[in-house]
Amino acid sequence: MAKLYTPAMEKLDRQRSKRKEGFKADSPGRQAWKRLIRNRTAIVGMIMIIILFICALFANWIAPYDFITNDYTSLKQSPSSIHFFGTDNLGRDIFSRCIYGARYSIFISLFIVTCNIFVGGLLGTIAGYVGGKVDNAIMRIMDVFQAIPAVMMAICIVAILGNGIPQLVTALTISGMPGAARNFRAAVLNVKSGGYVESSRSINVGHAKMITRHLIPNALGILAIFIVNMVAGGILIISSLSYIGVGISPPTPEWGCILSQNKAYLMTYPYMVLLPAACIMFAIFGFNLFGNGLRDALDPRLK
Amino acid sequence: MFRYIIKRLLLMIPILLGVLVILFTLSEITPGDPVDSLVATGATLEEREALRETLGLNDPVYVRFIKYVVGVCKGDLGTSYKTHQPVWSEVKLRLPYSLTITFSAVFLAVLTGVPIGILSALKQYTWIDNALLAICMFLLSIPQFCMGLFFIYLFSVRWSILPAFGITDWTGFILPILVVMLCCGSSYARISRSSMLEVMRQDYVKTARAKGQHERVVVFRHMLKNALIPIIASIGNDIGGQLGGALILETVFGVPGCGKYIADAIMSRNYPCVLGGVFVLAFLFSIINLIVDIVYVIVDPRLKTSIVIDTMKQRRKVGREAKAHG
Amino acid sequence: MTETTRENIVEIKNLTIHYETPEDIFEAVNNISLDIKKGSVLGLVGETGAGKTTIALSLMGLLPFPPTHIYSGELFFDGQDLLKLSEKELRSVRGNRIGMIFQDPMTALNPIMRVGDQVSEVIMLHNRVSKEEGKKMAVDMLQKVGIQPERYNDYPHQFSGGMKQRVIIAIALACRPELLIADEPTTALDVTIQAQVLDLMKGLQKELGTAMLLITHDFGVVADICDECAVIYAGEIVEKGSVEDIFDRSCHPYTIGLFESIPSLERDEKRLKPIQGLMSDPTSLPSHCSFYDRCPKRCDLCKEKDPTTIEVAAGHFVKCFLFDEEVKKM
Repeated sequence: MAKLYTPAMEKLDRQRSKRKEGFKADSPGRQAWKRLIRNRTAIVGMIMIIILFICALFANWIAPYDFITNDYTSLKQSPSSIHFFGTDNLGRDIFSRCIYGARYSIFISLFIVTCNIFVGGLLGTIAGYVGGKVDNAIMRIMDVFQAIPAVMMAICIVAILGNGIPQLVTALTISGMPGAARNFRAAVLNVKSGGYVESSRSINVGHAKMITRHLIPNALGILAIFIVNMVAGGILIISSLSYIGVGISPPTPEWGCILSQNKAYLMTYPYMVLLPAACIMFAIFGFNLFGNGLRDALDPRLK
Repeated sequence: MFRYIIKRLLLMIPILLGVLVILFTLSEITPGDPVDSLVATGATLEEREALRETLGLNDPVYVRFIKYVVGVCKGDLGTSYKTHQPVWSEVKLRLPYSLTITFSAVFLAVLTGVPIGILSALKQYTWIDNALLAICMFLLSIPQFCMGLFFIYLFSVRWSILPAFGITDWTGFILPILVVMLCCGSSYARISRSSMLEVMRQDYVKTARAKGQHERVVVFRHMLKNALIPIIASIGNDIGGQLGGALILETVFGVPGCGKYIADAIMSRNYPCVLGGVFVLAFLFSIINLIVDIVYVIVDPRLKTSIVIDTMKQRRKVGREAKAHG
Repeated sequence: MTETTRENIVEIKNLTIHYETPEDIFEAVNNISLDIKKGSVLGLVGETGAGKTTIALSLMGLLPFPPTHIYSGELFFDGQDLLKLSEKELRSVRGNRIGMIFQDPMTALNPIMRVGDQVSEVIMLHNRVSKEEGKKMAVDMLQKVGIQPERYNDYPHQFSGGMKQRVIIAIALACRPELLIADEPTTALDVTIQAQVLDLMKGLQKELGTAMLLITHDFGVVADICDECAVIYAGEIVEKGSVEDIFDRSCHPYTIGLFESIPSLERDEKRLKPIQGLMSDPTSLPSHCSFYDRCPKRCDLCKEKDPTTIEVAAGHFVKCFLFDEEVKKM
């Protein structure tokens, strides 16, 4: 049924008086930024990410204790005002270890995402841009890599190369390669069919200029969302892998490692397990919220 | 239809062959000499060389590869270093556990997640949508092993109603299935929601309403079926990843499944087991993809009538787009 | 309720519709009044964003609430105010007594439903007939629009754009509605198909005696098929009358500008003559004449007050101070 409303006429008048002569509409970038700011969950996500980055960058100054020294006088203490998350079986302060852990999760994840962009993204962009047989060949190879589940692939590679951060990064780059390639290829194909490639070609714009001037700015939005989502996924998979002992090994204070070391105490001292796990959730949740908000801001129609 | 199935089966072969290439390459570059674990300590160099010859380890690479492939076709996936049993017989025992958990969990996740997602989309802008979305996002942010640990703490430690580790009877299955169901279900809910929202925006929905059609009929006849197609595509893409991720879950709960088998084999550097197990999972993954593709072709009449050779590509693309919007 | 002349199937009186979003208020339709006579064709001409589709959707009751608010007005269809009907009553009108054709034929059909079923769906919805009878009626309707009965079981993707549009016309006219609303039905088609589809619509309209509201931005279409014409700008009707009035005796500067911007076959022109400036922003319409910024014949009064609608000849209305006798005296 049609509803007869009386909208706030003051709102209309307010709007009218706001507009001055020569009012300029915002550019799409500014509009997106405004939508992002207005989105409350995105702001919460942003704050969470900022907290994580502060922990990661300034762990040395924030953490009350360091993460290596074993303090045999205060073993397995419950959370208190001197040890916020309590201590573990070797007397180390769990809160400090978690703060240092942020460093590993975030930076390794970012590093992996960067490698993914350069390896998988490059392949996908070439496939999408050139098309034809090259496209086919690259995608067939990606199909083969994708036939092995990513976690398996990562584990196999680390099994061969041994434990350690560079090996983990290599493994996760290779296992994440097909996904990144497909995403980038889809983005390039999207932009290619957008018409501005053709119109640029028709006025004889060169390939390099085409890529830098046209493809990249338009793909930037998709790229940003991709990066945020990948970082969230990266944190998840890194902590999962180090929990089963693949990739990063103790005594590194990476969150999955901390859990792996403390899991024996789940029955007796649950805080040792639950609090670091909460840290992992905090990190992933923050990135997810922000990624969601980013996507809504960049393309509100999709909401 | 039949021709399509044949074509897809044929397509599977080069992919599996490619997987074997990767696995073979990996096994070639693993450090350590396989002979070391097969001979007694203190064996002489001649004995080692003799063993090498019998095992065919001195043959050129391509000969070894062909022998490997032939072996796989015959069902011989190698022999475990530790137990000296054929890998396939060991994997066979463990498959039922992995498959039970994965399939029942995915089934339950689809049953709960998809309707929730669709409901969420229909009630967009209301508190129901916001609440469901918040819950889904929260659940999605919990890694499976974290959720596993939480549940073990809750159900085994605090309340002592379910076993924490190992599978002695059917109750042991409950927690792992619950964890996978929650994780996958929230993902499917999100995908369903965005797919449904996309459909709700389409012009043919307006046309249906313009006919004077009842809203309920519009939802069920026009929107739902169209929304299900990308949902099936996404879920199909996801199942394989779940199979792989089962590995971590099995380690947490001590389920004697395929994943744990591979994880343990990695710890003990038992490479034939690793490669054999991974191959079995990759093979399963391909079969699941095939089934999903067939379902996809049946459901989408656009594909039934046009000659699409590579529905796999189409389905992956649709699934990925649906997920990206989610 | 006011007495309505029974020769009008549609009477819109003082309709104002706003879209409210958190950021802005879009004044889509501003105080328009329109009549459509039974069996005649009214062409609604205007630029993109002028509010044409909003009027069409309001007639069908398909405007999304939220964000739409109908601020004021009445919408009479055959004597009944559509804005006061319940959803159930509206459903019996939609598809049955008012049919609608949307703009883009490529996306207006359900891709996974057979084409014939989509036509019989609307038939069975409003007529108490059995499934077989409904199917037969659908086949008849499809034949009327030039689609062979064998194609009943085909899917939309197996048809070309023009044929899809025919199917949509069949769906819209299947229940012999009294009013057909066509929202730019030929814009998405190429020119030769356009002519075919227009001929089809003309023929069917005459045969069934359906009144039609044809929304377009193409005067050629108006000349071909319409009896009356209304020109809309920034949500307001600036000029309306019979087709001869609008084409031969156009009064409003906007209408004149539109005609002058069409390239002529007779005159030898070096450059096209578009109307200067851009359509006003619907979020910030002025309280004076909306066309002020682009009008070549503006005066100071136009900047202060909104013009009134004057009847310059029988049935020919213009909204401009130029034709206001009282103003001319001043």
